[in-house]
Amino acid sequence: MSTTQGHHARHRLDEAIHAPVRLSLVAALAQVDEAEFAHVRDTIEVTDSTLSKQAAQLEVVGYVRIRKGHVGKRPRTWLSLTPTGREALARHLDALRLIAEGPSS
Amino acid sequence: MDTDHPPITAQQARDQLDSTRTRSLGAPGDRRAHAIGAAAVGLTTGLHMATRNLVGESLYAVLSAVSIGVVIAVVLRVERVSRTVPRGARRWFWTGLATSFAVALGFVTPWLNLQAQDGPSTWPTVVSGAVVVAVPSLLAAAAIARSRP
Repeated sequence: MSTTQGHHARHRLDEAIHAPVRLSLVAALAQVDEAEFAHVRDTIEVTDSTLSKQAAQLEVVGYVRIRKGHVGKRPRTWLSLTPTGREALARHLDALRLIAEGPSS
Repeated sequence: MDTDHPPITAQQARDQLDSTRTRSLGAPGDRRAHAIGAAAVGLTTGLHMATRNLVGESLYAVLSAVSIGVVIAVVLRVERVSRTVPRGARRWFWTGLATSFAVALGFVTPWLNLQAQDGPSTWPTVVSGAVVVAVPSLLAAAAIARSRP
């Protein structure tokens, strides 16, 4: 019903970070200012291609920043959460907490 | 049915919340590396600023080049050994360094210049000035080291 849409906490869930891997990614990145791609991959236990794809999707919506550089001669990729991404994660977690509290939300 | 926002149960929400708490990117080693880096840069800056009146122009130019080289080497080393930048580490680092420069330019350098009018600077004077300049960066290093993952 359109009259009730927007009242339930689930309407405040962010579609961009609702998928499990993307939620794990933004939640992990929220703990640091920046993290190396390989370290993130190992921590959230995904493959290179999965992380690359999910990070790229989050970059498109402005939640994640991808920085490519070199350390010595080795190329390195760094991921960080943007301020917009942090706000989105906070709103999403608030919605999840409301839903977790029970049906009254 | 609301296809944009599929139903999610309370248990699923709790599971998702739990999944966000179990994996931590933060590493104590990274915090330690950034803290040591901030302290090293602060001490280098302090020594560089404080030796202004202790050595001649040509030697001071060499010391300046060495100081810049040390700072660059420290920054590159920290980036090489770290897999994460701890939360707030960059803000603390730059705040500490900027405050060290402000203390050097606004207080320590004028004080050392005043001291130099009475005679050549002594090592105890220079070390005191260097420590005062380094204090903000050392405090920043402590804040980085004590920050929570």
